[in-house]
Amino acid sequence: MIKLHNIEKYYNNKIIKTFVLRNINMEIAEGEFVSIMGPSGAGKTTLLNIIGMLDSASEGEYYFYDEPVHKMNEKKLSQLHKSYIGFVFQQYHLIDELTVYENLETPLLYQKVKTNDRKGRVAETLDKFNMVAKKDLFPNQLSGGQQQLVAIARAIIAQPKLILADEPTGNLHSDQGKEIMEILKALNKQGTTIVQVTHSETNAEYGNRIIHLKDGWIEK
Amino acid sequence: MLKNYLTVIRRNLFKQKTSSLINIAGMAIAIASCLFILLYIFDELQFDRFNKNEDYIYRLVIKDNKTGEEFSIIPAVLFHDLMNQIPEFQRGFEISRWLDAALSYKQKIFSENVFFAGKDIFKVLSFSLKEGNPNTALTEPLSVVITPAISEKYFGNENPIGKVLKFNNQFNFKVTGILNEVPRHSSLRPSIIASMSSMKTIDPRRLTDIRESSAYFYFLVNKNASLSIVNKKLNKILEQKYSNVGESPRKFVLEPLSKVYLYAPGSNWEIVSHGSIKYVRSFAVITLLILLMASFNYTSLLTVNIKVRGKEFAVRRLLGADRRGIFGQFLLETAAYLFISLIVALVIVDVFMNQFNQLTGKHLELASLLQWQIVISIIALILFTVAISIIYPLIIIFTSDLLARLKGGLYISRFKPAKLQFGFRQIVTGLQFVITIFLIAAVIIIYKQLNYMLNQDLGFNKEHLLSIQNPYDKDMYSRYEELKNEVGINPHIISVTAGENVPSNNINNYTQVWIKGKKIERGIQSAQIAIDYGYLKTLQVKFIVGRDFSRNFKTDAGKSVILNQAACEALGLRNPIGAELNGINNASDPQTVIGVVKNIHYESFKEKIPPIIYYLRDWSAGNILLRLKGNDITSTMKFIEKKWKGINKDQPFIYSFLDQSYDKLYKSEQQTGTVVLLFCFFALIISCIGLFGLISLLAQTRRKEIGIRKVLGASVFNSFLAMTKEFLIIILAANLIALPAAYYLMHNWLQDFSYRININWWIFIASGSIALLIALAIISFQVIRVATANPVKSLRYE
Ligand SMILES: Nc1ncnc2c1ncn2[C@@H]1O[C@H](COP(=O)(O)OP(=O)(O)OP(=O)(O)O)[C@@H](O)[C@H]1O
Ligand SMILES: [Mg+2]
Repeated sequence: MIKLHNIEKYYNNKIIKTFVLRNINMEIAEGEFVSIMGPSGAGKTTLLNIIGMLDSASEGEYYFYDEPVHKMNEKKLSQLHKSYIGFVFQQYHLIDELTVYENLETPLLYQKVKTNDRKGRVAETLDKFNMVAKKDLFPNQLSGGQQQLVAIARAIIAQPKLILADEPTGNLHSDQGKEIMEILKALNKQGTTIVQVTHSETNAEYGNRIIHLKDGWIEK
Repeated sequence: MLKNYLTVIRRNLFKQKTSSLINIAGMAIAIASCLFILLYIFDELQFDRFNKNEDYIYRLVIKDNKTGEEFSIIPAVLFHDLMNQIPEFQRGFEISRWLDAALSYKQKIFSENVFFAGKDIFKVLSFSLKEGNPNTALTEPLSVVITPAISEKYFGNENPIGKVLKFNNQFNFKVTGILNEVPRHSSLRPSIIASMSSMKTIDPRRLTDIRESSAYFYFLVNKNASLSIVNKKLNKILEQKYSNVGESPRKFVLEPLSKVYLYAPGSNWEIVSHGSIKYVRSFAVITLLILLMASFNYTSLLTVNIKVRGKEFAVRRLLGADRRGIFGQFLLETAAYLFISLIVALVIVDVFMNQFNQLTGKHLELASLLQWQIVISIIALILFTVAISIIYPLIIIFTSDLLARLKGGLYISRFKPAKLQFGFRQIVTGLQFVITIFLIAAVIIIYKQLNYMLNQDLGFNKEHLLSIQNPYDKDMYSRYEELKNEVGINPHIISVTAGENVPSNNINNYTQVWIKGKKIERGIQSAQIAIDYGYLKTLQVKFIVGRDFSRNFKTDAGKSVILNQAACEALGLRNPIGAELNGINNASDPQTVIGVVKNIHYESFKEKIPPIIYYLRDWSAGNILLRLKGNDITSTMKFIEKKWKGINKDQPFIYSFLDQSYDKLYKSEQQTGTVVLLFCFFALIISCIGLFGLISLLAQTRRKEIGIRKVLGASVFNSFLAMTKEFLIIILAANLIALPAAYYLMHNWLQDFSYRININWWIFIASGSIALLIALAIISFQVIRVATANPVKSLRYE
């Protein structure tokens, strides 16, 4: 599904090149559950963003289902985002002007899911995440953890092939974290590919592979 | 999806209530102004379009090659020559106007403006007869057609056809038809049309004398005729005819009827009601400025929120929106914003329609907006506004990095260095200042000109001057003498005199005057006004040199004249007293100048005061002029009216106070001027709203900086200075562009007025300073708001 070949990422800071990712080679097959670990500043988020096509690599090649991402135009990218990828961000990135319900509904609207089907799926997801009582609240009326939950719910509601999660349980109580990991695991069982960044060994264990990142290098 | 977008729009509107309110109000005022202006312009353009043959109807215009002056009044004697010798003229008619004729039927007598027209008027213009035969109604001499309103006035409910109206107590006109009220958009506005052939009986000279310019010619030209050939023929014929009249070289042109209303020179002798293309153009410019600024305002509203919105768009993009979707959402938001403003604007237009109509003297209504041309213009203008306002935000959104937007750092663009974008914003700010400064200068200059016209020294004292119309007939002079004797004893009346014209009347008697011994061609066109003794004294006109007419000098009656300053200058007289002039009143003997008076304004300020020659004659009694003391006016008026009625019951008592006549005379100019002023002022308000938005935006982006400065111990004043510095340069640059533009455009605008203010340099200094003050006020407001806020908050804001 995902093939990274000699990926380098650096920022040009005046004359000095600051490297964030060095010589990344990796493959992720469909149906895998991969955890990326490493110290702060190691480049985990950057890597995830590149996989998620939010950011482009400075050098190297990236194939998604054998199609070269590094050569794709904006239109193609937005199509891939719409139909394949769900994001869970470290900073949640919910739409502030929309309620919980509407936030969950939005990806389905873009995918042109029929009204009845859409309502059903939103209700089901709210139920699954125990958020029914909160469905009419706005993001700023929720706690950090609750916002995290909504962000995860929004990522999975569109049933993407690939879920990219940046510390999905970072703000959650450990019980809640466990719950989330179970949900992700269940999704993975049904065939969804998952890549998560995490600091927690326990959470990393939910996956079937762990990649360690340090100073931009993959540790063998 | 639509609902989702609309939800966001609604919540955003309510989240920033004040800014939404200000911006919607600004946009609504802008749209309302544009709607009013559109209505006004389209109404002006409607004139004479009701004529079926509009495209082929022309009016003859004479251009003076030397002075560039244009006029259309032509000797009626030429009409048949032209009709006979130019086959391209399918039909045509000549028309002239008799002001203030006394029309009577039995006991009823009123003063009326009577038009005299050739018989084919109904075949050329789409005027229609309610009753009577349009082919023959104006064939016979002494026939007349009248509108139902006139008919009602004289004949009540009786059938007017065949009845006789007495003209100036002398000639009997037979009513041969009922004229439908002419359409509102007709530049010719007769309610009484008599046959031109009547002139044979009333004033035959008008039909035969080439020096009697009294008619206007309208022609219906063959559809396939070449206008340039017709113009050539026209000039050849007229050149010949005019060759023995010693006047400056002229050119004759056919002016399309559609242009008559807007382009008519609007001189005192003009027969049609007319507008001004100048004002139409001014309004068009103002509309564009207003819309431009309204779009700037919307742009800055969008830009203020662009970081927040940019993030929202980025998230949406990841949830599946493509560029089209985001573009659509942007458009939808703009459309919604405009739609709300449009609704508010329509309410404003509806509420203020009456006032606007009063101000412009038009009969506009909200429903007039539904004409397809107006609807299309509105749509075009709205598209223009939308396009201009969303270009910049869209460019930012589309060129900036997705990730950067997610993080809320919008200005890091993939394609543009951040510096360049900052330049763009400065240019927008600069433009906004250019327009603001220009508008301030325009408002000051227009206001000054209007004020100047209102307070202009007329050259005489217009207070408590009463003018009574004394129609031209055989008893005219005796009537005047009698009234003078009867009212002279009243202590409330200071003096009684008479003149062919009184100020605020149009002067209609012009002649070629030249210095004795010189060639006639070297002479000048001068107005001549017959007056009675005491006329100049009653008006309180100042003498520059020489003396007034006096009964003590035998030669004063018939041999002496008094010039106004303009005549003296035009003739080039260094020592005017004793100079001898030929041509006055067709007298064979030269007339001697005994005095020169100051110029006085008879007509509108748009007209230059013509050379005027005053002379004594007994037909001067057309207007009886009385100066009253000013106390107990009502009873004095009653006293005068009683005396007038006692002298003769055949003549209506028609009077006017000159100060009121002047107000009327300047009313239309003032009205249109006031409307221009008003819209300039609106534009100014809108541009200030825009400045407020822009500066708020800048203050917000500087919030963090100001916060840090404060933490570091800088005073509020320091922050203020830091922000002001940037604006100072922009405002100075804006001044350099705006002031020359303002000078050029306003100088042009003023050319329309013969008597106008000078554009002083202080106006420009003031405009620049006012703009600066406005900017400083807004900056202070924003800086204080930001700086007095908790610095920790501002720091966290980013
Ligand atoms: N736009 C940028 N310009 C310069 N350097 C950047 C930029 N974005 C990220 N970096 C640098 O790249 C490195 C990796 O950042 P990244 O966010 O991927 O770390 P991370 O492994 O996700 O850390 P954490 O666990 O704290 O989230 C950091 O040192 C960061 O300073
Ligand atoms: Mg990270």
